[in-house]
Amino acid sequence: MNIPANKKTPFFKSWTNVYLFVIAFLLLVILFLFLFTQYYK
Amino acid sequence: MSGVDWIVLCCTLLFIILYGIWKSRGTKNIEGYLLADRQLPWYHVGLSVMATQASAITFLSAPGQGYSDGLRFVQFYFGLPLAMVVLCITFIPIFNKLNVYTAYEFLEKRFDNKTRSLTAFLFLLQRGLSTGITIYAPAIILSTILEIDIFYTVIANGVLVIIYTVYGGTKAVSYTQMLQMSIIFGGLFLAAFMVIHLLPENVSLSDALHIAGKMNKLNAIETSFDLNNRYNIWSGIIGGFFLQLSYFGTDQSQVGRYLTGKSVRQSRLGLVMNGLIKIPMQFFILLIGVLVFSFYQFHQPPIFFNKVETQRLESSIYKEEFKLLENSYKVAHVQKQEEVNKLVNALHTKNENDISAARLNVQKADAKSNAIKKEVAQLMEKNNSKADTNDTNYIFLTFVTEQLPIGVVGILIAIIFLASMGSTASGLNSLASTTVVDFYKRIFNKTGDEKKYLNASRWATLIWGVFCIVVALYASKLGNLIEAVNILGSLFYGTILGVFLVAFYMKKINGTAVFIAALIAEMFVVYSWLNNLTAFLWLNVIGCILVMVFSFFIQSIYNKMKVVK
Repeated sequence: MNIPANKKTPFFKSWTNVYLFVIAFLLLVILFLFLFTQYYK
Repeated sequence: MSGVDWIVLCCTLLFIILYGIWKSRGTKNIEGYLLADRQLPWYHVGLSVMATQASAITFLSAPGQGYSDGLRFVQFYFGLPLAMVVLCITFIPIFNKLNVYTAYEFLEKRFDNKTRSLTAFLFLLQRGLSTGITIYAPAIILSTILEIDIFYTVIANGVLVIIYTVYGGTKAVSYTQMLQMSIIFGGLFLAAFMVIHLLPENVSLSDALHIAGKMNKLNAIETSFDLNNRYNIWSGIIGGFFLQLSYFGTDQSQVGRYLTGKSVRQSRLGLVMNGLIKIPMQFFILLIGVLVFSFYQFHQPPIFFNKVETQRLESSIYKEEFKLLENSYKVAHVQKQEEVNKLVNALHTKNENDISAARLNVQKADAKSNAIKKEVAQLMEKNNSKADTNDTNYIFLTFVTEQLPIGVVGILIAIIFLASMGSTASGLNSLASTTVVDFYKRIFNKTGDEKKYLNASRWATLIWGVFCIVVALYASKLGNLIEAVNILGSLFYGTILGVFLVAFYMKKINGTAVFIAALIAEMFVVYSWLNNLTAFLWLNVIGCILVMVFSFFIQSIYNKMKVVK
């Protein structure tokens, strides 16, 4: 029996994933800036 | 500025203009002229969008703001990536599907003529004046720093932009913006490298950041919620989101950039790129200002960075008082420098008690210097009630021209011109698009051929260019015009965004309901502003939400009245 290979869609093929990536990136930048502020305080 | 710097500056500007003209040759129709045949790839769209937003004031004012106010301005951009996501999901597909040239064209298809004409007219009014200011604001600073008459800096800036924008339209604007942004990025890295290089030998980058941090300049995040505090994380995310959404979604100078994308995908990718790069870029520019601040802890800074104002004081009846203040400032700086050196030593020994003690002393010494600066500002006002007592915009260029080596100065002055040219070019191009598409083509010449519309677009660009130069030349005589234009923008953006959001998401609301709602909401916004009820970023939120709520109620009442009849 031929079992079809488990095809994976590349992460950035979906626009939803792209948008989630942008939001996650924003949160990471805010976290970085927060830690940066605290470290040099 | 040396001869070599002038050569670098002139060659850079000439190269940009020739490149723009060469890249845009052969434009034959209005779609090519206004939308670059909708053939541009995502990185063009992204860089063009960034160059449009980043005017010369961004590169003059932001490092100065970093110097005097620290990093907190970066929070202003927190709403931008979220706005980009909404634009990608809603605005881009709809504008592309309807094949529009301008954002206001969409409003006629969705509502009616009057809504389109009103928003297009408000745009022309606001953008026409603000593009004039985009030319004027850097011109006044460059004329002070380079010691040449403002007439020449305005004319140089305005005429250079008109040449390639009239000839090549959007294609010339977009290609030159891509090159301008590359030079600007290169110039900024060079500036950052030079500041670090100029720090004393025993002071590392980390020490410089620690010094700035201990003097409260690395305040990138403020979590306290205060409606009257202009920059905190909440006003940045919520207010910034609405402001950026209205700017990118309803201002033709931006809409015209991403409509040039080859496809919906390319336009979206361009905006995603902008969403990812903008905050780090702004952080980097502010950080350069913070490093300049650290540099001036070891070198005597001018008591006031705007030379014109200090020269006025030197030749006034207050010159003796000013001299005394200058001497006290020098003494205060020497004392501060001693305290800063103690702080550096404490940082090297990593002794927390010593660091805390040194930090307190540095802050005290800094407060003393700032108090003297305040006295100087008061003296300036006493001498001339119209004196410009804010020297933030002059800090970075003073540092560049006085501290950096020959050649580098030319490059950095060139990036100020380039940034101004990029945003001015987009402004002129969008003014021409709206004039031709929303008024000329619809009202004055409905059946013209492509050549006529192309010629009309070129004439419109030229006329708006001359108008903006005239605004720039008279701006200095009109005093508060800059403030007026900024307020005009923030007063209307929220309401216009509300109209667009109703168009997109509230399908059952018609043109008359949204038109009345917009007028009522605008009155509320103006009332809030007149009574200082909130910081200006929140006006965008108020305007937008009120339009949506009022439209809903007016439509409901209208529907009920129809049923009763």
